[in-house]
Amino acid sequence: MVTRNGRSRRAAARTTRRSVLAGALAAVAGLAGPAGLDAQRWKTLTSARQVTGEEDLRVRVDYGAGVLTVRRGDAGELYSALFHFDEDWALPRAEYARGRLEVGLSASDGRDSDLGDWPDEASLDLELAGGVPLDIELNFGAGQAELDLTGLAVRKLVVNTGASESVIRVDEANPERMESARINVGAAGLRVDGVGNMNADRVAVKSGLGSVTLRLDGEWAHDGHVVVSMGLGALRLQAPRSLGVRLRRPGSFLASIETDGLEKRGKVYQSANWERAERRVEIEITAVLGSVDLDWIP
Amino acid sequence: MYRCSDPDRAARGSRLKPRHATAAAGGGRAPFMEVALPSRRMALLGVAAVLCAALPAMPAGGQERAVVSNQIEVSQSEASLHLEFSDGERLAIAFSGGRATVNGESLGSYELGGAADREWRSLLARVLPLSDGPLAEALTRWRPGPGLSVAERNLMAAVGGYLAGALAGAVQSNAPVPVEDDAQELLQAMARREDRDAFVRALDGVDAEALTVLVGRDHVVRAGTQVEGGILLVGGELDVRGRVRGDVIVVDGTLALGSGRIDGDVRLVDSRLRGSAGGVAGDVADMSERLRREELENAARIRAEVRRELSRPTRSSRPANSFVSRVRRASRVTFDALTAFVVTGLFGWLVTVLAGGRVGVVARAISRQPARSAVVGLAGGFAAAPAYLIGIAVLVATMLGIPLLIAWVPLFPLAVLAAALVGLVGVADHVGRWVLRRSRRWLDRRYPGRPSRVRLVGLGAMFVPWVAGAWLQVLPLTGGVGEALRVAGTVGFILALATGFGAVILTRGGVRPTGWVDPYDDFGDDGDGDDPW
Repeated sequence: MVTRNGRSRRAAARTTRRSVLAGALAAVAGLAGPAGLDAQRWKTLTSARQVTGEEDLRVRVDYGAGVLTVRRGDAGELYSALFHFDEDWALPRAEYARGRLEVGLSASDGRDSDLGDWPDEASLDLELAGGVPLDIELNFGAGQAELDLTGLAVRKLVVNTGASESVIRVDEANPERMESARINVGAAGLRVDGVGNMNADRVAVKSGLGSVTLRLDGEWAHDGHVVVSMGLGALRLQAPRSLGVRLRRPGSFLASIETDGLEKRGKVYQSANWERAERRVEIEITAVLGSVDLDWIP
Repeated sequence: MYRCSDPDRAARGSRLKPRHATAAAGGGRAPFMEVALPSRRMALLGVAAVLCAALPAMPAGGQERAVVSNQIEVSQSEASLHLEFSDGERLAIAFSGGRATVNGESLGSYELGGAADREWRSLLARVLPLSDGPLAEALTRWRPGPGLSVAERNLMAAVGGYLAGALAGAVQSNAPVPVEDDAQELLQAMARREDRDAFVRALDGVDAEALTVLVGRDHVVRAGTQVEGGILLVGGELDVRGRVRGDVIVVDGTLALGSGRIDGDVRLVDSRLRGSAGGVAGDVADMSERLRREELENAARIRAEVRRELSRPTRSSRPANSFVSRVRRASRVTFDALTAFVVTGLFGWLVTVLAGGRVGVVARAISRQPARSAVVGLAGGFAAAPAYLIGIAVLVATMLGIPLLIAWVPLFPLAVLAAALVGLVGVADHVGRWVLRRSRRWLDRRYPGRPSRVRLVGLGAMFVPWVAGAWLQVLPLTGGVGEALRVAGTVGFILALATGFGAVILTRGGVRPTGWVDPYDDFGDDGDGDDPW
């Protein structure tokens, strides 16, 4: 199901991509200004590959800093990557071999990998095939990351982010049952929309410092299991009222948990509809210092 | 997968040559392309083209290979396109740092930010968002725009050829080979050469439009490939293992010709041929050697002409080589001698009639003092011209002498001439007597002895050596004798003139006799001019 908001967000994403392309077009057409006027030497690289009978695709994205966007690509396209970066700072990588795709932007030789010095304007726009089962591992350093997994058949998801603002969005149900989704956040903000559409058996979120928002909406194909481990920060859970929710606190230290709408049953909190809910989600929270809030959404 | 539904494009894709011809017809020369010619592949391509043309409604057609991967990389110094096809073949066209390459091999040079660079970047900008079919279609339909120089047009036409060939499935790793348009380098190479004649001569009759110029690098025409048009390579090695459909010109380099074939001529300029020339359909010419040979021949011809011109005698001194010319020359000498004889004879007769006594005095002076007369005559002859000029100067210097100058200028030469002739008549008197002594009976019978007749005989005798020498030269074996006689006659006549002139001077014009009077002398000094005989 594609929500209205989902459509608008995808349209916005397309607009963003077009704007990136427009900038790239200007650059490749030689309209970006003569060399030497700009201290930075921007480079644009596109890499695309067609689907040629691949049964699955293992994707590894290593991205230092900047803006990272991942979304579904056009039909028949296995992947498409659009890099825009300062070639003095970064080296692009887009390699495919035997069902394994490695895409990334790493520090060039002789450059300090300290992400704080990286130009913020660098970007990577990655589009992946919609009909090919995907194992995605994304390692993102700093900046902004938007993972729109809508329309992708994700079998496995691993996201490791550093100091970034990351958004993971799933507006449509994942046609592939996801074995697991592991999201590790260093010191950043993370928002995950459509956790139900992930079709994941288990979703694990580990946050060191920052805020994490998990929107448990979407089509739950089966009962889910969400594990959240937080160091210092805030966790906000947004759950549809139709969803049966059970919350466990196996270990919490100086963390406050707002459990409005949940009933305490022994050492667990569960929603009133737990017994009769079509789909249930068990949530385990381990927090050192911070807050845990649960909001109910229509 | 992208499939061609355009029969024309299918045909273009399956036949690279027409594609190139189209590019050439667009204003540039035919691009230098090596076309892979595996016959089986070409046959398949031809069949595909026919099928595509016959079934225009079919969605699939002439594109032999799908583009499974494409990569475009653009920066301020680089713009590259990488394609990977369904059969694993790859095509990488890169414009980087002023040099265009195809699969790593140099395609030519371009100016950063120039028209070709902009054209290439513009193409990449158009195809950047595209993939597979739309990408292939955009690349296939691409044509270089206007505003390109010849070199840039050639470069971009070559790029277009590669793209079309690659999308049609004709590209192999060893198939199309880069194009280099080294016109600028060629000009520099020509400017550096001292002997440009051979360079220029090597280009005689060559279709320059179809000629590909390669300067300062080696090049290989691979086996199984062919080059449309000729190749001009300067300063490198051209290894022909395939086929060149044109002339091959190598300057300051080496042409390696193994199993290769060249449809046109081979011209070498300070270059060498390695291998057999059996694969050359035309002529194999070493232009340097030919030019050197022609220069030597020209020099020899010029020397021969100069020698011939120098050895050619002037009209007056030209020897009578043929019999007719020798007769003509002898006749002319005879006529001249007769003329001189008539003139001098007439003058001698007049002098004898008018001043026979003075001639007798001169004749006696010659008889008595021949050597002194000769010396005085030679001295007088040499002194005559200076005396003449001095006389003019003196008369001019003296105001009173100017009226005399009017007489001096014409009369002095006449006086000298008259003195010489009088002296000559005096000498003729002696010569006549000498002749008459030896032919008295015959002469007495025909010419009774009178002074005028004696002097005529003497004058005539003085011209005889010339006439006789000339006629002896007519004969083939007496030419030397005749020449000697002619020289002797000339010397004798000069001596006669000098002696007579000297005698005239000594006798003051025949007025004062010299020395004693021989009583037995035949010349009676009676002053009446009568013949003593």
